Formats: sequence, structure tokens, C-alpha cells
Amino acid sequence: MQDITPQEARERLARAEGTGIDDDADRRVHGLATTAFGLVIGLYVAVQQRLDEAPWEGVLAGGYVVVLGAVALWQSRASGVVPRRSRRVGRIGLAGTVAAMLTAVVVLNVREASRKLAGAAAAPEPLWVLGLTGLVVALPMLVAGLLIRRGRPA
Amino acid sequence: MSTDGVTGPALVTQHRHARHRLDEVIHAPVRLSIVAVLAQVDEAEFARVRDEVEVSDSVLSKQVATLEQAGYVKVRKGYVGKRPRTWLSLTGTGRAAYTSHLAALREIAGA
Repeated sequence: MQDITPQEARERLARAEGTGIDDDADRRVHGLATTAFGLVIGLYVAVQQRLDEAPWEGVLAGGYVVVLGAVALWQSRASGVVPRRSRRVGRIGLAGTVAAMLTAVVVLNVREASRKLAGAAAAPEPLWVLGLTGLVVALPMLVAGLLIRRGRPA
Repeated sequence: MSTDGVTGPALVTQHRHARHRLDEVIHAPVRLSIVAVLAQVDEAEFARVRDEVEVSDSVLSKQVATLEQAGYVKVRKGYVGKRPRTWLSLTGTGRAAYTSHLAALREIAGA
């Protein structure tokens, strides 16, 4: 290893620490995309309950996949940098959303079965319940999106 | 001979000058800049790194190949729409080497 003077070391440190590739626009793109993923998943879970067994269910599922794909494409086109730790935070948010989604589906199915047993069959879930379900499902990704946007995700 | 109860190889390590801990691969100015840029992100596009470090495509390719060979940088090729794109990221080994290199630089700078 060649010798290096304290002055050279300071210059190299200054150069290394003076770089700033991760800018606000990149964090905004990834934060918004994560938020959008959460909202789309939450909306799908809520609307899908209303369209259960209806012929529009396939159209809804197709639209859901297309919108998710469009958000992913926009995200990769709009930003050439993935901010530090945003992937990990996004994955944690996604895991939370998936867990909330599975829980919500189980809870809604139990409620439906209870209504049938009580003789109130075919009564759909009230809109406020579906809205709340969508929000709960989306929430982990909304929080993840906010953390990514703020730039202090970990 | 011992100092504060430390003997043998431990003493040698403790008293080695920080310049011995500088990483040969990262020490080159352009490679240090590349690693410094990648240390701030999970992943960055080749073009963004090139613009940030202010080098040509060929210089960046050559330096990235050296870093990749050392196991410090991971190169991922993909497409966005129909356009091919190359993504660069620092590996765990690269991040650890960079942290250690910076610590050695700080020690020398403060000497």
C-alpha cells in the first residue's frame, strides 16, 4: 500500500462524503410507488368483496394486475436510483399488507358465515366495513411509502 | 514486551499504521468515488453513476469490472420497456470494505 499523507486522506474523505446521487426526486418516486401499490391492493380487496362471484370478477383481477404493472413500470422509468434501505422497507410494508389482506379475507368470510347461520344470507358487507378493510390492508404500505419518502426509512 | 496486557499478534495489529488497512481496490480515486456513490443507495443505474462520478462509459465499465471481480459490486442487466439498462449495487463485502477504508482514512486524516 502506498503512503498517503493526512492532507490526501482528508481530500479523499471529502470527495467520498461529498457525493449525493440519492436525491429528493428519487425518494418521492419510490415513496409514491409504494403508496400506490398499497392503495391498489387495498382497493382490490375491498371491491373484490362486493363483486364476489359476479362476472366482473375476472375483469377486476385483470385490471388489478395491469395497474400494478403500470405502477412498477412508472417507478423503474422515473427513477435511476433505488434509495438506501427503501427496498427493505418496501418489502416489510408489502409483508404487512399481505398479512393484513389474509386476515381481512378470513374475518370477512367468518362474518359472512355467521350471517348465513343467523339467517341473514346474501346481505353484503356495509360499505364502511369494506372501506375500513381496504384502509387496513393498505396501511402498512402507506407507512412504508411515507418512510421511504422522508428518507429515514430504517 | 506488552502494553496494557496485550501481547503478540494482537499488539502488532493494535499498533499497525492505518495505511495498512486501506483497501487496495477501493484506494484508486475513481473506484473510491464509485463505491462512495453506491454506498448511499440500494441500487443505481449505470448512467446515473457515470454522471455523478464524471467519467466516460468505458472508464466506468473498466473500474466496475475491477470492483465486480473483487466481489465489491454487483452488476444487474435488465430492461425498462424495450430499453436495456445496467444496474449497479454494492455487495455486503463491498460495503464492509468501504466502511473499513473510510475508518482508515479518518484515522490517517486525524493523525
